[in-house]
Amino acid sequence: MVDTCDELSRLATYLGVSCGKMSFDGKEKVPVLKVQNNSNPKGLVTVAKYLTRSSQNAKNLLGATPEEKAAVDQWLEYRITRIDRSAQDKDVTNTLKELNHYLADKVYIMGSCLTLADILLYNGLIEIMGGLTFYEKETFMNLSRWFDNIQHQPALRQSLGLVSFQRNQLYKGVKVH
Amino acid sequence: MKLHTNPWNFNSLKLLAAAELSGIKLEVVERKHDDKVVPYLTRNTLPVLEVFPNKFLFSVGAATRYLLNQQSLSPEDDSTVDRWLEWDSNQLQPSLVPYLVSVIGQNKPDAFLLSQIQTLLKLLNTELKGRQTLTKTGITAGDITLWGSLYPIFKPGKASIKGWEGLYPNIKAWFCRVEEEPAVQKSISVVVGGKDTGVFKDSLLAQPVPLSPPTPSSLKPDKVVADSN
Repeated sequence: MVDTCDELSRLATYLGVSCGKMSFDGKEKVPVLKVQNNSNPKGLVTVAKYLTRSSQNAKNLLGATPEEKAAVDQWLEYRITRIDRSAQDKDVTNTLKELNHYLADKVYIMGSCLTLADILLYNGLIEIMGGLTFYEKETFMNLSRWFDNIQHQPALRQSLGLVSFQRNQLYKGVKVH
Repeated sequence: MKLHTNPWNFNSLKLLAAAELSGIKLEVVERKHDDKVVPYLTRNTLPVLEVFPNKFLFSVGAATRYLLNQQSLSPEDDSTVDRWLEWDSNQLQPSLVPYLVSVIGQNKPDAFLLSQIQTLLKLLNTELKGRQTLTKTGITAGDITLWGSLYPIFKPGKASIKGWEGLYPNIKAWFCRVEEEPAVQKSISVVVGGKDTGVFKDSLLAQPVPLSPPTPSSLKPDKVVADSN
């Protein structure tokens, strides 16, 4: 898993905000941000949303309507409760299948606009996607297309490595999930 | 708006209470315990809120917050709600749900899971010191979500933690405050109907259990590989 404190400081850079003093709560195993009024947001999702709210021009990253806001929240929760916890192969495969199916008719998680959900899912999937064979990447075609699109935004990827995808179909008769 | 739920699902307490609090009328669609409602999920997760036809919210926390529709909360309160919804899904549920399965479902309470829950309750008790609700503004999705999650271990039934009122007095005061709400009472009567928490059994046994965080022992093999390199 990508280090969550590094991930949050990349997010802060992307948003153009200062991420201030960040630490790691060893008991809960989550990042904590030290902020002025001592409310100290705790947890990857909570801190990521806090940073996004404090950015001047990123409000829609949390969703434009109440329905979108709820859906963004749902996928942020999916990141920490499913992707980060898929320890067995069976769980990983189910997670990839679900996202691949969900993304069949979408450019971004919310459809046509980039949100915080894309950013956190991308970070959570880098290691898993990087470990797939070209054949597997082709079976999760929609997910691979989405992932490749996100990673080609240099402002989001920053120092992270590129996962390679084939532009042309390598295998005949691939069973797409 | 449709609420798809199986009978006796404790998570539905939260959605029904939230809808009732904000005066939203839900069309309840009764499902079997193993019905798969969301087409792209591999799991039979219930309850599910169908916001528009074919637009689903399968996260109970996100759906509860959506139904409460508190758009005028301050950014600070919003952040507090984020924190407790994240704590519920990330810390509490992964210990709580398998514990409920062990005690209500299989009649073999898992002592390790119980001790994890007790650690979490201790933290919550400290955080609730001097507070009636999680934010200063009154009841939010954080309160409704945690109340619904804790219902099976605080109310009469096999999973009830002995002496919790004395061990966690701040939680007790807060829990009673949430249950004072008529909307909360109504959701209890709809889902549980005056019975004890044993009614959750069939739903608990049929519903997927949250994935748990990696344990130190499950991480060991990786470490051995790293050392040998």
